[in-house]
Amino acid sequence: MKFIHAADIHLGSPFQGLKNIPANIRKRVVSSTGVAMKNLVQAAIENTVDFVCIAGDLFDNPEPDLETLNLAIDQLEILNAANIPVFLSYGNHDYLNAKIPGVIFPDNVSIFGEKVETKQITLVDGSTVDITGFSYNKRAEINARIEEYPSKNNQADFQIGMLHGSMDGLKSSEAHYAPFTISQLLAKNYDYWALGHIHKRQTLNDMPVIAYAGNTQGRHINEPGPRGISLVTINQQKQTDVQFLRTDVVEWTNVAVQAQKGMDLQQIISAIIQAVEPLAAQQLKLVNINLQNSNVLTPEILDELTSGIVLTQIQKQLDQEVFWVYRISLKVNNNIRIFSELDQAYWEKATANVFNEKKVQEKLGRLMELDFIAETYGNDLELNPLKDQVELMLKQRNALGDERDEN
Amino acid sequence: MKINKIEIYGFGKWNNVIFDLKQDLQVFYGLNEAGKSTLRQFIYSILFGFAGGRGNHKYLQYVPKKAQGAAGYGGNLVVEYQGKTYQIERIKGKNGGKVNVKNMDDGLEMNPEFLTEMLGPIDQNAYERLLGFNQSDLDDFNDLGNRDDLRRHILRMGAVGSDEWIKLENDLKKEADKLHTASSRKRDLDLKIKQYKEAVDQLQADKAKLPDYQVTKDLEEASQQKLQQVRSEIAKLNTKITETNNLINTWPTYSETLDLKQKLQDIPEAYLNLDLNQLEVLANQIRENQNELRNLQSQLEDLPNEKNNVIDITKLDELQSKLPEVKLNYGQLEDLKHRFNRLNQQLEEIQAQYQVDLGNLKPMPEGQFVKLKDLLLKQKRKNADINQLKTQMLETTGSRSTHTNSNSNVVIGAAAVLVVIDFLIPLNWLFKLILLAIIIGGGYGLTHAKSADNVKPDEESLEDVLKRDETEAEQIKTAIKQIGDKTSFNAFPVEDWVALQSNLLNYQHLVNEMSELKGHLTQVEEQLDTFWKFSDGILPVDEHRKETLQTLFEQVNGMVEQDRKQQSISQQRQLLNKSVAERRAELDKLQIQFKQLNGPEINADFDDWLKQVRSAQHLNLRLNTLLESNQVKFFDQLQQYADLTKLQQLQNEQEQKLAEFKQAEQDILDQRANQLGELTGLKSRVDILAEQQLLSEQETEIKDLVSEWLTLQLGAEWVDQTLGVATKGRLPVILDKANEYFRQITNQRYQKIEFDKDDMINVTDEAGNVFEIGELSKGTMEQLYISIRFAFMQAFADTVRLPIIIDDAFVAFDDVRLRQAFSLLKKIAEQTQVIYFSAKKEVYDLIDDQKIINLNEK
Repeated sequence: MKFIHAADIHLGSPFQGLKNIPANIRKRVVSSTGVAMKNLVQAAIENTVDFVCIAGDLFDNPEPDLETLNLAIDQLEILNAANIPVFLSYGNHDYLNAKIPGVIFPDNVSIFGEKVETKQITLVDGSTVDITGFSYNKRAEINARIEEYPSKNNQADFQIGMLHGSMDGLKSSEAHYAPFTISQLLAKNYDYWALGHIHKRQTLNDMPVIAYAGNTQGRHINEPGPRGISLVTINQQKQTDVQFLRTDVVEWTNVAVQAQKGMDLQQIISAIIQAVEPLAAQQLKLVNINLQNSNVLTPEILDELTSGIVLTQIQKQLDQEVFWVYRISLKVNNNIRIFSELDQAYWEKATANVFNEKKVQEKLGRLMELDFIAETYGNDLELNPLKDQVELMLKQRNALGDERDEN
Repeated sequence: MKINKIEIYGFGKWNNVIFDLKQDLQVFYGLNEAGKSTLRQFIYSILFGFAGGRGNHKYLQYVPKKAQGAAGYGGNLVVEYQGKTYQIERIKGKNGGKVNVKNMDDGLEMNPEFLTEMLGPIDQNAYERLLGFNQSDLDDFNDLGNRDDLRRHILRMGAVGSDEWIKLENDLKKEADKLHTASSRKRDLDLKIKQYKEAVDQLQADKAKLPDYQVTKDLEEASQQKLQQVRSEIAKLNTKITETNNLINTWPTYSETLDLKQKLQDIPEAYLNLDLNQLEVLANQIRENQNELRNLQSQLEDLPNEKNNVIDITKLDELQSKLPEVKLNYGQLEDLKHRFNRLNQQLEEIQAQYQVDLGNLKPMPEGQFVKLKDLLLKQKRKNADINQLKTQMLETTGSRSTHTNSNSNVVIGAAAVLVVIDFLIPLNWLFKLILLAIIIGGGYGLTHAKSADNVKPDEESLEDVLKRDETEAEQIKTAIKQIGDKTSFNAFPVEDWVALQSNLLNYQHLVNEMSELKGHLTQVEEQLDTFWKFSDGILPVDEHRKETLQTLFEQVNGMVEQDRKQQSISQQRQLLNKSVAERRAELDKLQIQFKQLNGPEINADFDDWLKQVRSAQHLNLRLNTLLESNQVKFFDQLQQYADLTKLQQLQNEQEQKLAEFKQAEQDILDQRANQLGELTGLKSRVDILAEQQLLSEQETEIKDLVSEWLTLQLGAEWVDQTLGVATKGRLPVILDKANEYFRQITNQRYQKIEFDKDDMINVTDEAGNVFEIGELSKGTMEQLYISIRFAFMQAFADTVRLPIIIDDAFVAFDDVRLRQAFSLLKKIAEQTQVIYFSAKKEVYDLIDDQKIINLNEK
């Protein structure tokens, strides 16, 4: 039995964290989730798989636009033409609703309903496979639906569970999404668990394999590195081979560059370019430069860095077909002494007064009305980067005026 | 730490100068450019190091010009620290200069770190901010228009460099406010957010504009269904039109077929398959043979009947062979007769000259004749001589000319004889020639002889001569007479004798010749007789015909000819008969062949028949071609139609209908195109994904701006918090001092300063009235500020144990307040050394002259 386990294709998803990108890159970005879907379909055909499982979030939006729907239909139609069945469950992003009517998909697509159900398929070699799953019918699923999954049907040669959700305790905020525990899954005795929802590719258990395939195309810097699908082969002895196949066309990458004291602008630019250039690959690289130790740089250099001049220079010097450095994040490794040593204690004492969620949110005031601001500065706000940023800003402003040339 | 002495080796304008400082308050007076700032910087530099060479700092280096100050860069401060005296020397060297610290009491060199220990946790920056005070600090405070700001300022004075921090805090806030404030609507960030919200709305609107998948699908399906209907109608109609077109196209064939069938209906089927060419060839051959046969028969008929030959053809042939000789014989006979007659005529002519029968005369023999002739010649000459003589005697010339004439006559006569001989006697021509020569020669001789005679005369007398001559002539005459007597010529005059001689000779000759011819004639006549006898035996000829040999000749030839013809006819007949037999056999054969072809009789109508059938066959061929075409399948259908117009009418109706359907199709297509076009247009105008992406980019932009704004805000907040915390932390330590200073500077008018929990500041006056800081006058507030500020300075000075350095801070003060301020300074100086730089002469009024160093004098 050979099949593809895919999840979180997120068709129609925009990329986050970019701004003012050139039109050609925007074009690639906008089409990337669709191209990833196409790559998935091609991979299925090239590897002559028995079927394809898509464990939720095929669409980024429960009300996908016409183009996106058409793209999905066309691609599923290609699989249909190749006689490859598709088992599709919807996730929290594309939960069952009238805007994605099941009838629009070709006959090879079996869609799971809101109740856990088992679909059966007989493979060319005569072996039978039971595939169990369900679709979300709303944005969140706080219930642990795992209890509804039946234990393995011994009539079938194989049983696969499809589940869009997160493991209990993985993250508290993820408990809204059909939480489960590994032991719950193991108790079902299935041969493979095709999980979705978590975009980071990971294997939770080896025998049987319980795994997230990860999403098929990274869409922001928190989804860095190669993205793709799992090509799963399970033989009659239940030996399972999982192979990762890339489907992404754009790859988000963090690149760390060490700032050195006394570096001038050109040195920084070439250090960044030297760090980026070796990363050239087939996929367009969207690069975030983490300029470590930026506090050692002079206020003037920091000014150039924050004003975007350096970024523009780098964007010009790198091949835009291969790289797009979209941001240079200034990172601070040590505490920067801003105030006089005499006042350092007060400075540190004041930190807690300033860098706390409440204070920050209070500062933001009505800006918090914006979803994405609320999201960025909402719960679990990481305060240290914020503090680093402020310190760097103060350093940049050379608050203490002249700084003696020491050493 | 207290500075006791300042020794400058070389620093800016100062070279090798030493200032001894008072322990408490030391005032340096100097006009502008007197070197106050240099001196102040010297103190900082000795303590914290020389300024670096970079940036603005280099102006604070004060490295002396080479020409000046042999002592070089630097100097020392002698300070009192923890009860001991130290000299801190700093001269040129790396990293801020070379430092030497020496214990003045025991002269021991201290570890360089000892200076750091003395300075404590403070750098120049902090030192300047902490223990420096100048006009701008007051100005900054006074610039705060708002009482509350003043209050806040006071509450934040408790940190190193509070004033600058407060300034920065304000700057950050201002900068942040440029982006966004709690109530702003038109700042950068606000505008971005506004745009973003509009974009969100736009996206929503655009999404709403786009029909959803099902609607589009339904629309498409509905129009597709209609289109299919119309198209199926069109297809059906097209089939019908094709059929009709086929029928119309077939019509000419069809009607031609009918026509051909009509034309062929009377022609027996069998005829249509006849091989006419073969028939025709055979018929022609038969006819040819028949004609030939007829021809041969008529030739046979035309052949003359055969006759039996009367005469034996061989004899006839012999006869015919003899005919030419006979003809020649007749010719000879004629000729001979002719010659005979002519000879006879000549004979008669000669005879006619003479009365006597010449037949009875005989010519003189030759010899006699020659004598005669000679005698005659002599006679003649003698006669001529006699004549001449006679003439001469007559004195006239004689006539002798006759001689010549006679001589000529002789020659001519001889020639004439010869001619006759020649004519009459068939002599050999050679003989004739000799004869002629003789004659001519004779003539010649005669002539010569006469010439010889002529020479003689003259010698004798003419008479004598005449006599002799006449005698001689007589003699000659007698001789001649004698001759004549011997012959029968005497009957004839002598003069004629020569001619007679010739005529007799001719006569004799002619007679001989005639006799000879007679013999010939007889011979020929005998030959002819023999022939005729032979001829009569074979072919009896009329007596008349015998006269004309030609007739016989023709007859014989004719008979021979006829015989030959007879033979040829016979041969011809045989040949013809053979040909007839052959032809007949051939004809029989051909006719059998012809019969086998089932053709009609070959008669006069045959050609017409052939023509007719050939044309029919052509038509039939055409018919078959037509019937073989694939159009035949439409013939059955065509039977329904009487004529073409009916079909054309049908076609018109169908095409009209088709046009209607096509229009309907086009309408649907147009309608769909419109709908799709609208949709496509919408799609092209509305690129949801791109819009979403742009929206996301706007989010990023806003996030970045928010982050920038928040950083500024938090930075300001952090500074504010720090200052507040530091101030609050230090307030209890300085509060007593501040109260003391406030009382001092207000001349005891105010007694107490209080800070409450809510960051409010209250002051109590001498009467016990409590005022909120906001209620104080601006001047009082300034005094409050200076009191607290100096209290903090005093406190810091305790910690860092460094002198307070004040730079003309009170220039704006009136005399009263200046005095109050200086009284405060004096009080502070009791505890902490105060170094005061001033450019104002008033200091001399405010303080003991001894405590003033006039830099102008240095």
